[in-house]
Amino acid sequence: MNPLPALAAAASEKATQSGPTLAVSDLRISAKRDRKSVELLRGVSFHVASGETLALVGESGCGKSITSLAVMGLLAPGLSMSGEVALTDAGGRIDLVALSAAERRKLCGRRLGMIFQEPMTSLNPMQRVGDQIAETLTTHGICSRQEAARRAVAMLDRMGIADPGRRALALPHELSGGMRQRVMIAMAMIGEPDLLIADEPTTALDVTVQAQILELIRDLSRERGMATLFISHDLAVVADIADRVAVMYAGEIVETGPIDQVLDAPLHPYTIGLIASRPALSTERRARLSAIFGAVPEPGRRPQGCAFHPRCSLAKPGLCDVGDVPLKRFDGRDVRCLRVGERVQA
Amino acid sequence: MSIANVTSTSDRAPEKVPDARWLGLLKGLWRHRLGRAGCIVLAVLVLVAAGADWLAPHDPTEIYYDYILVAPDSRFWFGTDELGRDIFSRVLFGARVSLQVVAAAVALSLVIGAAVGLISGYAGAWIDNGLMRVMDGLMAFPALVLALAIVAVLGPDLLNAMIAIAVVNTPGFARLVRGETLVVRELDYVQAARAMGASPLRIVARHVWPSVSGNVLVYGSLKASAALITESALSFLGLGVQPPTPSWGYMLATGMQYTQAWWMSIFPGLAIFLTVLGLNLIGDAARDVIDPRTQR
Repeated sequence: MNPLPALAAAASEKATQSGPTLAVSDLRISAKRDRKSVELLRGVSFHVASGETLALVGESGCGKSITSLAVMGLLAPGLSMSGEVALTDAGGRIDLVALSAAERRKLCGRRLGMIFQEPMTSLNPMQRVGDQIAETLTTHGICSRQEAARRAVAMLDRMGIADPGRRALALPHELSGGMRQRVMIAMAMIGEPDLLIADEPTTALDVTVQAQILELIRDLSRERGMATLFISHDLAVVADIADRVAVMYAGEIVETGPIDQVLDAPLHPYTIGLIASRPALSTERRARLSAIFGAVPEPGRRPQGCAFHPRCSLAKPGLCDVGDVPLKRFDGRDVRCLRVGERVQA
Repeated sequence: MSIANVTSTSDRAPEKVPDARWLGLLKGLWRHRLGRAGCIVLAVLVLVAAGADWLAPHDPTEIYYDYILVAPDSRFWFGTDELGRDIFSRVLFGARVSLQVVAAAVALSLVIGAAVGLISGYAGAWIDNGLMRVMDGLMAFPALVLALAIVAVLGPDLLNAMIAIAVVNTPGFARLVRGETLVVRELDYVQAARAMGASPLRIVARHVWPSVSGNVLVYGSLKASAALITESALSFLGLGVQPPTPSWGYMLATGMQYTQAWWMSIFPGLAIFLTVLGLNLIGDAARDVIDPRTQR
């Protein structure tokens, strides 16, 4: 299922050596609310190497989407951001945070591609899909209008859309959800980006279509050696596509490591809960799913100490509710839990 | 390849295909009962204005001294005015003036208002604040009073009346477009355009304006009737078209002094009424066609 664990592990060992395409370090995002600054993202760091897929996983509001928007430079203007987002390749290193809006626009579409969550609303309802795909090329003046249109059709063909020449002339409402998502992917891919960000690309689709789309994304990222940042709340999807996973909770990464390890033997209590709460086909019809009690803390009402401790069955008073919890290296991955060592030994 | 199913809604409702939306709008208007009536009224008016030279039985400025204040008869269909001019001919030529002023004024305020609204709505921040406060300032005055003030400053003639009407109508367009822009710029596909590196100018031109333009057009057709009334009022007060050029508003104004000669005010009044009615019908119908929720 995961043919590149060695490469992924190597990449996580020494980030600079294998040349990660994307490196995010200590990314912090805060919003002003009632004259108070509220931290939405509290120092997130990760990297994605070319050819590798990193999945950001977590509940709604944990900060995964805002992370992807920050990388693309699409944050709402009211939010302030600090930290480093760097794109590296053979040609050198670009700090995305330091770029001006115009410089960043040159990268978007060409070096950075993004697939959005809602294929229904992310396409302009008044433009033919072929034109929308070609727009990435014409915006950047990469090629002529005719050439762009030709490439758009070729891209639709690569997406597995039958009769691409005719489909390119269709308006979004004439296509099914799966086809629209293929169009979205074509839009993101036609500029041949180094980094592909997929923000819940399959959430709006039914399961059979979902599998086809995932396969398409995986094939394309392997084929072109792209770094892929995959955002999802669905662990089944993530298990299918990612090499490594970073689990987020309340604006922090709580556990990160190779996908098989994290899913088979989760270390952080939150990851354990997340995996346990998945319904399986074999589950008895009326058997209750295990749920994590309580709710995600609202940004700004974050508890002291470990953000997860009020909901954690293993929390220890006096330990888990004071001070910040650092990411600790344990068993080949990083875990943000103070009790991780004792539990494993016990 | 197996999921190549197409839901073909296009052949069922061709007027809803947004890509051919101008043509679609016209077709929709024609299909709409009241819209069709409005179109016919307006088309007749345009033909009358264009063909006034051939249609008019008399020169609109020619004075027949022997026929002052003659009631409608077979020679002067709408009667004559206090100087002995043929009212029918003057009404025909008046259409030319009125439609010109209305079309030019509305087009001007639409272009300026849309530009202000798009910039304001998309740029936001202090640009938005600055532009909108100016628009609010213009809106704070009653339309006619402001138009009067502008004409008073510029001097009374047809061109200045047009400018005044355009200025008075601009804030409405600006506000409408700004409001729509605020909504559209947050839509997913605008975000997607940003993600592919499109410049703000490109996003506004290719993604925002096409989504906004339909409503602007509807608003424009409704505003056209208001502009006609303002034009009539200005001419009525002697600040618009200068005599002897015929204008409906001016004719109405002079007619008021001769109450026994009812034909002097009835016919230009009727012309104004019909034009406003036609424009309003088209405006209402266009709104129905563009927004399927309000459809009958």
